[in-house]
Amino acid sequence: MNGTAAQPGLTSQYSDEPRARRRCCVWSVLISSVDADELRHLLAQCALGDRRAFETLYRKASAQLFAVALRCMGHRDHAEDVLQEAFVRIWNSASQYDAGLSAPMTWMVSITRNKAIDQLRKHRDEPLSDEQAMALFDPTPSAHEQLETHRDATALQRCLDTLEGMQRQSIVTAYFQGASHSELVTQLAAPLGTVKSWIRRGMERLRRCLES
Amino acid sequence: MNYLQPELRRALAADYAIGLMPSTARRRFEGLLLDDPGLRAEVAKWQESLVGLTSSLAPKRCPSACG
Repeated sequence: MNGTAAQPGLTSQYSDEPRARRRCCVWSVLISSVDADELRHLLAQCALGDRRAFETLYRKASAQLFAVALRCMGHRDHAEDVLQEAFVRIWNSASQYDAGLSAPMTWMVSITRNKAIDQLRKHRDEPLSDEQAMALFDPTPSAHEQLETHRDATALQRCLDTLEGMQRQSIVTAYFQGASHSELVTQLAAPLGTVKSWIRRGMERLRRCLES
Repeated sequence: MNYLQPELRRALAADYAIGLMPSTARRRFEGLLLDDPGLRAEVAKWQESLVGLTSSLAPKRCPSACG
């Protein structure tokens, strides 16, 4: 259905893709290596209506944002839609970006995730067959597996390790699948109060750990 | 609901940042954010905490519709 249970691999083969696509983006650039100062500057220019700055921003950020959209949606087609919607929103909301509050990539990732969640929910609101429902609620620990595989000792990964298993799983599942509390109840087979408690305690612990 | 309670604000901001809120609640919350710099700051902190979840994702070449 919407493929939330799909687990796009971390490494992707592009050999089957048309050459014409290669101009799209600088996809080998990791999030951490994209220059935050430059992105901030580009967003400021976008807020002034500078289309060239927007094109540059797109080249710099789209590969990472597409990875986020793909991780959430599980389908390239759906992820493409999400990416396009996200960039429209980024362009229209650039003036609302507050450099004092968050890093530019954080802001753009948040927009992308919100668009992905909208799409996931829209698909989910359509009636599901039993099979689709099973697929939807199939636990997907892939995010955590990715963290395990690509451990680079970031603060977040260290802090995630301090959480109890279900705290971690509920946060990661909600984050990438846009699951609501009630969906987590079904997916994690736990009462609502327990799920809420996992999230609250997990998040507070995460934050304390990150701030320490 | 009393949106001035610090604990509630913090918890709602966390829910928003993770993506837990139902769509209607999310829209309402986004309405609150517009007029509440403190709440925006709270959300930003959570978002900054969580964004690391995506930093381990390998960048993906974007689709043909791009650019």
